[in-house]
Amino acid sequence: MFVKVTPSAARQVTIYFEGQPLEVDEGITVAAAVLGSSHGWTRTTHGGHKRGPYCHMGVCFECLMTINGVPNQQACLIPVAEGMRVSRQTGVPNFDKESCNHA
Amino acid sequence: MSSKDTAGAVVIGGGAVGTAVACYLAMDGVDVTLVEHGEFAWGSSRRCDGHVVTYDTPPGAYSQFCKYGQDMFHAAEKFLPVDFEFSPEGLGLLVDDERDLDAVCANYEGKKNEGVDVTLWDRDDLRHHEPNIGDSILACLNFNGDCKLNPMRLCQGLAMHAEANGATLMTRTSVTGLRTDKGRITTVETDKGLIHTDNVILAAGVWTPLLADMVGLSVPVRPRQGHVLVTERVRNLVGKNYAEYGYLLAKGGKTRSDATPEMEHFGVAFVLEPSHAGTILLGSSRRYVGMNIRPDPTVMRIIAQRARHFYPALADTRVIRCYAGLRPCTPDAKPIISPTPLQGLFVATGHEGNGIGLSLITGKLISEMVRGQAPFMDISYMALDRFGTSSVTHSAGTTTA
Ligand SMILES: Cc1cc2nc3c(=O)[nH]c(=O)nc-3n(C[C@H](O)[C@H](O)[C@H](O)COP(=O)(O)OP(=O)(O)OC[C@H]3O[C@@H](n4cnc5c(N)ncnc54)[C@H](O)[C@@H]3O)c2cc1C
Ligand code: FES
Repeated sequence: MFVKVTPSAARQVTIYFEGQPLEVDEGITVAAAVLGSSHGWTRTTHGGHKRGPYCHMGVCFECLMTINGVPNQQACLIPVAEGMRVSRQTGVPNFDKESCNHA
Repeated sequence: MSSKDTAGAVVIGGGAVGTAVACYLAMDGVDVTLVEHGEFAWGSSRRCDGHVVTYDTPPGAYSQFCKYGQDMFHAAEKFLPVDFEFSPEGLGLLVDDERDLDAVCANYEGKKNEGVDVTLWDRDDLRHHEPNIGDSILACLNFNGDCKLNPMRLCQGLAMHAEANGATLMTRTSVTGLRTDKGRITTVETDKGLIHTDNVILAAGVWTPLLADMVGLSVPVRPRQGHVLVTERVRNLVGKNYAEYGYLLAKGGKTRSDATPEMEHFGVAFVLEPSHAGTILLGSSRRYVGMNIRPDPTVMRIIAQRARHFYPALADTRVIRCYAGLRPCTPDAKPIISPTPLQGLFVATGHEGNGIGLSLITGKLISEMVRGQAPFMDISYMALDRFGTSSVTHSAGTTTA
């Protein structure tokens, strides 16, 4: 379904998806990075149904994941970075003041 | 959907009020047809919050009416075929201005004397229960019996239960005219044909005046617009439903001591409802802009600012959508649950911001009226003639829109 349109970049970074290291091209999005490892799903709805990235352009909110401890992140809009921790988001995420971006 | 050309009663409008009226009529054995222009919950009932509350009425007869209406949901939860996400988790009225404390305490005593389950939290109690509350919030008056539900599911459940009890449901059907003969209602004209009937209930929310006008009747209901912001899903940011004390003043059209001119202009007062799905509904606004339901970015911004005043942590959540709806508002902001000078014609609308919460009790009362029984509660103050405008201005045999 998805075909890479650019040749692999020289630089690779390591991210951790569900704790497992993944070597991926620098500059791609988290959603693209986990496509091959996620079995098609990156979150569940509050009713427990599996969902995965759909629009890849920030519109559908189907790709919400927890990135570096912050829930509700649109994985299709966020580029990978060295050492990034990415995990699936199941159900409704807990609000945790410490993990928020803003002070 | 099925259709029939005769009915014991025709209910016009498939919002919370119309589906409840149809449901109670059907349960009471009346051969009822429900006519809805779109689908169920097509109008205001899908553009609102789902509070079923007693907090926003001062102690007195109307407050007791709201309490009775609220109690009916506990029974409906058992007999309706749809889970309408009913949760009696309570609602807290937040106080952020010292000058309001006396009024809040008087409200507390009055409500307690009426048998309402209320408790008062001081500053420390409030922080214990709501760690994310804003620093300047002083106290909270808890209405522990207040509830919330999902209005769309409620309408669906009421319509299905009406059908199971013999009602005919006609969705995607518009009423285009009403016919009378010698001062009584005889026929409902729809774009799918005529329905002959002795009883018609106008439950079309803000559209009711248009229908009443078809028989020369004046129903003084105006659309009072309101906005709701919906956040992304988060758990544990807030514990239950909240509103600010100033909400009562904004609803009553009174000026508040600490409101900004913008808040006054758009009638903005904080109200919050965590939904079953994890999103948080944030309101509210109140103004008269005709039938306009296009959300206004200025109103959205003021609501968001007000919400952050009470819950600063909301600054960290995204708003995923916003909608505006129209409250059917009468001059005294109380419903019209009433017969009319035309025999067989009844009006059930004007519930302003309480149409969801008062839907069941309205259904029960209208069913009693249609069946010629005396209402189980004194509702004379909800009669149409209180406005002195209910005379039929022309008694045309046939009037078509
Ligand atoms: C922002 C906001 C927040 C609110 N919050 C709450 C709350 O928390 N709790 C609460 O209790 N209430 C709340 N309300 C008020 C509540 O939404 C209304 O009081 C209630 O929905 C009115 O229900 P209704 O059935 O009378 O009208 P509607 O739901 O508008 O139903 C009328 C129906 O009539 C149909 N109709 C119109 N004309 C015709 C025709 N010619 N032929 C056939 N069908 C026709 C329409 O399609 C519509 O479906 C809120 C309102 C707003 C705007
Ligand atoms: S895939 Fe649609 S928003 Fe990310």
